[in-house]
Amino acid sequence: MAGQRSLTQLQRWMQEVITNPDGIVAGVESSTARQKIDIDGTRIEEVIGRSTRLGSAERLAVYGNAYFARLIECLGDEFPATRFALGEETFQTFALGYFEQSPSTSYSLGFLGARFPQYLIDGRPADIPKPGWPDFLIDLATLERAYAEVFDGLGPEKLTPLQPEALQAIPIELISEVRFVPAPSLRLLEASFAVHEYFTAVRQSQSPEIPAPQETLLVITRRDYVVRRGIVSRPEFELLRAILDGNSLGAAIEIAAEEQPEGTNDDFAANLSRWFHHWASAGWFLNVELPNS
Amino acid sequence: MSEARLGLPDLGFGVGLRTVHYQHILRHQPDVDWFEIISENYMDSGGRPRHVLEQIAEQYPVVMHGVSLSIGSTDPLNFEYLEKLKTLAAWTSAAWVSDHVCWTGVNGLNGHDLLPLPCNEDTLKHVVDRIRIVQDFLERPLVLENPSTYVTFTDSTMSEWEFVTRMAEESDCGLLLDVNNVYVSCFNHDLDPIEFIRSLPHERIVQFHLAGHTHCGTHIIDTHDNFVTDRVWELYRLAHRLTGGVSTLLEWDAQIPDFDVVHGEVLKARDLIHDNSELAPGTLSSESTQLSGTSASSSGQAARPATVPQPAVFVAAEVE
Repeated sequence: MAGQRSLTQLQRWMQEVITNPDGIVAGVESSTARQKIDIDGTRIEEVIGRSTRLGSAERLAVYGNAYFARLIECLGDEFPATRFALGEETFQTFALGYFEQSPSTSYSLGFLGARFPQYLIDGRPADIPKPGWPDFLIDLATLERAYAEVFDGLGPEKLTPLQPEALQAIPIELISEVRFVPAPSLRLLEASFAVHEYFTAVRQSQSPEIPAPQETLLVITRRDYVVRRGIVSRPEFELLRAILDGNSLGAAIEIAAEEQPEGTNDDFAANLSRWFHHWASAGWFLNVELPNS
Repeated sequence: MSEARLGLPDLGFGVGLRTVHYQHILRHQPDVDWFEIISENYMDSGGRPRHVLEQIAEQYPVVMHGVSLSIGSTDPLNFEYLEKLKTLAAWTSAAWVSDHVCWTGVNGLNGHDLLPLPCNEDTLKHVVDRIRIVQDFLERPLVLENPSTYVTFTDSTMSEWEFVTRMAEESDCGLLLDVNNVYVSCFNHDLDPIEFIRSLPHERIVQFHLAGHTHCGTHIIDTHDNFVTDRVWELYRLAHRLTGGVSTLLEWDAQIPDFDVVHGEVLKARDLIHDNSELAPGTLSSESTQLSGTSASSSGQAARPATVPQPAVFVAAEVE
C-alpha cells in the first residue's frame, strides 16, 4: 500500500494519542503525536477507519477512556483506604497525576502502585504544618503499599523460624556480636497517625473520620500467607530498626538505649528478654549469625 | 504441523482462576476439568496466590494465559519476562502457554491493554518472527488469542482472519479462539462473525474462550462481567462443530459471582454440545444493553465509561 506507515510509527502515535489525559483530539494534535503522524483532529480517519455507528475519534476514545480508567481502578484496588480518605474524585485526580508522572513500565500490575507513596511525599504542600492531613495520606498510602508487598512478596511460610536453642548455643562472650536474620516479610513503619486502624475500619465497610495525630509504630509481617500488623513501643521499635539496619545485637541495643527517656534504662533491660521471646514466637526472625560464621 | 491442536489435549471445560474463588476451590475441590491462570499474577508472587496455585496445580490441569507478552510491539522482546514465564510454566506443568495477538505498549511503557495491530504484510512478518523467537525460547508452541478490538487501521490490507491464519501457519503456533471477542470485534467493525470463524484454520485451534460483554449500543466492550450471550453461544456451537471440540474456558473478571455460578456457565457449553439440542427458553442470557453513561467520547476524562475492557486483573492483599 502506497504511503503505508511503519508499525513503529503507528504504535508510537497511538500510544501518544490514547494516553493523553485531555482526550483523543488533544492527543492527536499534541506535538509528540504529530512528530509520529502529522495530522490534526479532523484527519483521524486517515489512520483509523470509522464504523457504521462510530467515527474514528470515538472509536479511538474507547482505548483512551480505558487507559486511565483501568489504571485508576487497579490503583484503587491496591489503595482502598487512601481512595476512601480522598474521596473518589480527588483520588482520581491524584491517580491521574501519578500515572502522568510514572506510567507503568512493568508487565505486572503488581508494581503499579510502587511509587505512589513517594509521589504523595513529593507533592506534599510545604505550607501545611506537620503532622497534617497530607501526612495522614502519605502514612496511609505507605501502609497500603507495604501490605501489598508483604502479601505477595517472599514470606516465612516455608522457612524455619528462629529457635530459642539457636540463641542459647551462642557463647555468652559472643552474644553481643550476633546478627539477627529477619524473615523476608518483616517491615517496620513509623506513622504519625493510627493508619492501621483507619485501614481496618475501611475494610470493615465503616466510614471512619480522619483521626487526630498519634505516633504509631507498626511491625508488619506475614504468617500463613496473611499480612499481620502489630503495635510496638518506641524502644522496641528502635531496637528492631537497628537490627534490620544490619547492626549486631550489642550495637543495636546501644543505639536503641540512646533513644530511651532518661531513667528508664532499667525498664529497657527488663523488656529485652520479653521482646526476644515474642519475636521468636511470632516468627519475625529466622536465625542468628556470628561474624565469619 | 503434524497433529491437530499441535498435539495438545482437549482438557474439557475449565474456569479462569480468580482470587475471590481461592477459598471455595481449596475447601470444596469442585469438579472442574481445568483452570487457566493469568500468568503475570503469579510470575513474581511469593505469597498466597502462588501458594494457592501450587495446591491447585497438584489437583487440576493448569493452562497459563498472559496479558503482557506484547508479541506485536515494536519494542524488543523482554527476555527477563520470558524467563519468568518459562520458569512458571515448568513449575505448574502448564498444558500450554497462551497470550494475545496484540501489543501492550512501546518505548518501555505498558498500558495494560490489548491494543490492535494493523493487518498487513509488514506486521505479519514482524509478528511471525517474534513468535518464532518466543517459541524457541520457551521450547514449546505459543497459543495466541484474537483480542476484542475497537478500531481498524487504514493501513490494514487483509482481514483479521486472514492475518491470524497466515500468522499461525507461518509460525506454526496454536490459536486460542475467543468466541466472545469474535462477536465483539465483528460488531464493532461491521463484519460477519460467522465468516470470521469459518475462515480460520480449525485444526490449529487449541482452546476456546467464552465470556460476557457490555453492549453500549454503538459498540460492544469486552468486560467479562456477565453471562455469555445467546449470539456468542450460537457462534460457540459453530466453532465446536468446525473444530470437532477443543478445551473450553469461561472468563469472568468483573462483578465476579460465586464460583458455582461461573462454573455453571461453562457447563452450559458442555450441555450445549453434548445434548446437541436446542436451548430451552431462558437458559441463556440475552444481550445486556447498557446505553446509559457508557458511550464512547473523544472529549477527555469526564465521559469515561463505567466499563473497562479487559484485562484489569489485580490481586488485592489480604490483611488480618
